Amino acid sequence: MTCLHMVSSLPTSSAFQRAVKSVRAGDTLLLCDDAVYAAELPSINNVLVMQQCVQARGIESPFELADYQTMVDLVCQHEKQIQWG
Amino acid sequence: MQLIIQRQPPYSGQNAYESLDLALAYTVMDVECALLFIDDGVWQLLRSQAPTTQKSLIKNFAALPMYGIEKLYVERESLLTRGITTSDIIDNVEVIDSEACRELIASTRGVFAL
Repeated sequence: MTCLHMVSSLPTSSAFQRAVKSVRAGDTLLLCDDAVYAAELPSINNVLVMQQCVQARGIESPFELADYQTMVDLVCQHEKQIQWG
Repeated sequence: MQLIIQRQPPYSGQNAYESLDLALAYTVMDVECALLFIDDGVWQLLRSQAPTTQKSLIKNFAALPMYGIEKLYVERESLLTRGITTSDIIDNVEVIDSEACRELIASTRGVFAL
């Protein structure tokens, strides 16, 4: 079952690390809020960041940007979602 | 089957009790569910817990099979990193490794992480 993993806490948090650890082939990881501070995640193919959260923080992200429409599409494209916190 | 993932320690908030409520609500609705304890959620399973002002979590866990909830899992790695041995935790929990944990999450229809 493909899964959309969403995480909104800092990359140093246990929630973030658990999310990264749980992603399998075919899954997508979507970073929101403080999670957008993440640098490279070489172990995962599909990583997206919420564009609004990146812009608000004045940073640059190495990942593909997503808007709310993309988020809705991602939810529909995957069989389930997990919000890791 | 629905999977409830517990990542938070007991007694710091209502998290643990809320997940129990959720598990019982699933069974009332005839939905099969399992509980998975990872990260700091493994502290919920210590058999030496003796809360004085709050309800005992482990008594609730012991009663779960009566409600048809027989699948309780804990990740071995999370126990090891916290120096908890299997003799420290309650009996009716199956210890699984990280890979089994990932497979459990992947194969379950709905996952609720607390």
